[in-house]
Amino acid sequence: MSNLRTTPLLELKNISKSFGRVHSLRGINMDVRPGEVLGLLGDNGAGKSTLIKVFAGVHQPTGGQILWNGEQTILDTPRAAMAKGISVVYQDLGIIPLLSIYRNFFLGREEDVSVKLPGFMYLKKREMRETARKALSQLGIHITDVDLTVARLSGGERQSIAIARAVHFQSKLLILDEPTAALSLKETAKVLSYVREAKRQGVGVVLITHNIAHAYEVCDRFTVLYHGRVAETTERENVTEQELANLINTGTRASQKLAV
Amino acid sequence: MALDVHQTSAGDGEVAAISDKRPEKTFIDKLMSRPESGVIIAAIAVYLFFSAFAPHFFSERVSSNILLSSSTLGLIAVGVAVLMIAGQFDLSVGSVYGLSAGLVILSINAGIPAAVVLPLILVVGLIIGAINGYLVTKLGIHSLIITLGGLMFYRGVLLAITEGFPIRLQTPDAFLRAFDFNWHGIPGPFFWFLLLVVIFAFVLTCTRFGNWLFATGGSPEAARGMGVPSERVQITAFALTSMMACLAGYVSVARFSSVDALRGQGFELEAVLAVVVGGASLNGGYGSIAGAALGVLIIGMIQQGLLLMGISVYWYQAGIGLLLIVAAVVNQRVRIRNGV
Repeated sequence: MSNLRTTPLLELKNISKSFGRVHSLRGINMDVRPGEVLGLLGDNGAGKSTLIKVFAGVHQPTGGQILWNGEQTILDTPRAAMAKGISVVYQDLGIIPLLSIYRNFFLGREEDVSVKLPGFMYLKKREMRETARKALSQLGIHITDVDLTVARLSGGERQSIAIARAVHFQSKLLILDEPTAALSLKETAKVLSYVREAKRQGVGVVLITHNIAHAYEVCDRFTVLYHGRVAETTERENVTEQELANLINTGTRASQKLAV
Repeated sequence: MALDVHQTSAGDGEVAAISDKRPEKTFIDKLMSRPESGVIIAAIAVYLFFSAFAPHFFSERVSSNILLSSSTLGLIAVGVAVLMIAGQFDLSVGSVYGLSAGLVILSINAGIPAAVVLPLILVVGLIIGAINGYLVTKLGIHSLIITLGGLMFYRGVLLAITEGFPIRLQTPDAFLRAFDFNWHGIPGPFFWFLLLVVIFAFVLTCTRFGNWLFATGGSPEAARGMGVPSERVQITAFALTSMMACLAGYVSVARFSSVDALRGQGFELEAVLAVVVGGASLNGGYGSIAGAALGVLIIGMIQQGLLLMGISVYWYQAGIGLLLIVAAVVNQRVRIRNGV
């Protein structure tokens, strides 16, 4: 259940983004609250990817405001977004395949596990391995050999490591881009259980997906994008799976015989 | 990139137990688990081959020659390895090396003390590399194009200022001479090579910058998404590569006191060859400095070994070409074995 009275973690006000004459986002208003799972739905080209990149600090919006904990903010680089506690797990770019598990785990966040010396940072590799192993097992992922390269893991294992990483570094907002797209049924169940675990720990989660069934299973609210605008934002109780499908396809709840 | 999915029909929690479903590592797995595994075996094989067939291969003079001829190429190859791991190429290193040697000689002849020339030429290298890096990353032009331009341009500058004739130091310089010592038959330049191999091997495996280099080379987009400033990392790698080429130029002046306009021609490809033989991946994100160093030593051994066997020097090129092909095949097997 989402509590309506708390300040939203992240709020977008009238956000728009154009690439030249292509208007990808046209006045998006949405918010994410702590401890909720928000489903961000939309067909291909609806503007989902552009919107995540605005969250992640990769794209700068051409108009509108971003509020973080009620205060206006600018997310100008991925590092700036990360520093605020926003973690994005990308569909295919969540992790570096050639790097070992523990190096991936700390990538971009090496400060806590290194000795700062003039001119460089020395990595405490033993501590990195230990911490990574512990953090993974807290999410129910038991790996003894964290020196394995990620290339040797399956899609679900990669996703789980990316999620464990985001949870461990106490992200306040976790954005998952199609986390279940390439996974087996069993792996999907596992990933969705990580999402619930993250929510239980008070993390705000944005789940981007095509799969209405998966979204309906874990999300508290839905924001549906249609042609760069918000078609509707609704609580789960007030919408059926069929209506969500209609919203994605047509931008309205009414069926136009287009629904899947 | 081989995905390794051993799905067993165990019960719940089986997805989570990542290591359980993988077979135990055997001794051979451990032996082959590093990028330089192949090149170590190759180095030993080449060494044994020439020990058996090349007369005087063990003599101090021959060893000394191998180490000396490896040193300048080695310094360059260390930089090229760093850059290749970061996912980029630099074809201009041979020309930058030649030009730096020329500039060092001209500066010292103009009365600037050699001790002052050293930091200056390193800064020149950093600037040349940073320009390459800036053009490649910020403007998104492929590094082969930019540095091919660099190869022509810097070589052309060297040819123009020397007018094609060799130039030499007019007066010996004490500081410069100190660079060219000889310790128990091991030539001075080799110590510089060794020192930089150790420094860069440390940087790559034990520092945050090293972590970022591998991550950037593995996938610049993903690394950026995870908070790594990929572009800055690649620009730094370019700068270090050109700096190493300039250092090699300085060390070679200390040794030979002269430079001809074609000094270092072809080094860019020999360096790439050494680095690839040393186990690095052309796609970036995988490789090792120690491997590259061994690759350079193998080239040196083949060069001297064929000479001692009385085989025409033309076969040298054929020899290292063959070496590259064999090494590439072996390294590919090692990588597949490791699931990379």
